[in-house]
Amino acid sequence: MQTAAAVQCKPVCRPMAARPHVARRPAQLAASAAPIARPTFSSTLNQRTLKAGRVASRVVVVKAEGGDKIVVIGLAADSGCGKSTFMRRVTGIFGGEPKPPSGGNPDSNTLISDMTTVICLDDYHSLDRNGRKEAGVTALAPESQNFDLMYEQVKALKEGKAVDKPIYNHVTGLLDPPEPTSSPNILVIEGLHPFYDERVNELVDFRIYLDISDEIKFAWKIQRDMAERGHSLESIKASIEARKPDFDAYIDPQKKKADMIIQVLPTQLVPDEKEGKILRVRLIMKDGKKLFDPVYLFDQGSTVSWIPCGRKLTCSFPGIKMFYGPDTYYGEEVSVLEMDGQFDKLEELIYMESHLSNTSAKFYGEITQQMLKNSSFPGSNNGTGLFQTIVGLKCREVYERITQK
Amino acid sequence: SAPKKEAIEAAIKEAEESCAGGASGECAAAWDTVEELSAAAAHAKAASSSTDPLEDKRVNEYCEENPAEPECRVYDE
Repeated sequence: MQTAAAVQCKPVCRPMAARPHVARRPAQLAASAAPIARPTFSSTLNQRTLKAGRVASRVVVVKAEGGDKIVVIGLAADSGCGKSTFMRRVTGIFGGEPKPPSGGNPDSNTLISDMTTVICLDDYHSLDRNGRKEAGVTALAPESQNFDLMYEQVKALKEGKAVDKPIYNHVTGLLDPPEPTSSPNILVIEGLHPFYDERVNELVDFRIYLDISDEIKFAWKIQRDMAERGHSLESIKASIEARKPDFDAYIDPQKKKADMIIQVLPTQLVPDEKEGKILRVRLIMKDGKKLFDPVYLFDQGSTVSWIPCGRKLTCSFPGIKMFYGPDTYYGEEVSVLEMDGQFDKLEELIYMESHLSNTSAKFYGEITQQMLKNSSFPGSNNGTGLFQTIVGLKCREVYERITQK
Repeated sequence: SAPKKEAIEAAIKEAEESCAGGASGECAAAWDTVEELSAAAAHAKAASSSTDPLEDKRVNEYCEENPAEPECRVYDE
């Protein structure tokens, strides 16, 4: 199956050779070799060839026709909720490995690949770490965010113009000198407030919200931080609690505006599961949108509860339980697809994938193949990885529908 | 780059101190700093670690500089 996919892929994708650095285009190598301090003639020339190279590769990768429309995708989530994993899954679907801009600030938050540019909205902090400390506000508060600049630059990028975007340095907590950012085919803005400001929200074509329940957030942060020095159960708990009022006031309400919400909840299969290893994940999809169709299980619009384990599929404890049905979400019609439990073998995923419809996959087994490709990412054995991959395929569908018009 | 472990430790200490007087803006801001540093540390760790020894960061850097060395050659045919 693997080889068949590789052959099919060959004329379209970049070679999936073991080490992409070696297969890099010479133009990019030249650009990374030149220290970009001042815009000297050679560096501008390099950048131009880089751009030309990128355009050429776009034609190969995308088969784009008349693709001068730039699609903006917004992703909202709190810190430590799997934004970066999600981003890697989405950009993986569009092909190419996302990399920080070469030669620039080593602490840049931007990730660039052939098709996509991912911007971290922390770069639009109006107050740096010290400023927030003095003002007594968190990064979650709208006071510490420069929405005017965010709107201006996202608008400019959507119109195909290049901008000088500031860099918020997460290590030093300072606002570093801006970096030049050129307009991509697909612009992804990720961070705490992509839909907070109505002007910015209007520019976004497809809105995604990662909604992690408090129990799971706590469990994930323990896994992430406990090995670090100084962290204790109390400190993790205190950190979540101190940020919670701002989170509830400014971040959480944005989920009402999202087109798709991935909700992560504690499992219902095992009583008192506290580790956050087994998850109940819900994909909430708004109905009646022009740019995408919700995924469904067996029969669109019905309510289905399905346990795939049985004669055709052996599952280990605690098994898998799927649910699908119509619902309302903050007064809007939605379809909900839910998966509780986890899989240990790939057969289980392809078996489930074959029963899902409207997944926007281009060939049978694409979801499974994408999951396999990223099998080392967190969440690859449960609903988070599955639904992130499905949302990634929906992003591609949104892109294709917009650029085809 | 990753934030130093001492920096995280100091930030936690500072947060605990500024929250001694109960919940306040300063208290929330201090814990927010802790969260930011922890997230940066976790991201740096995720970016540098790989289970495949041939995809290790050091090997990658070496091969980027010396793509013609025998251990770095990849013929894409």
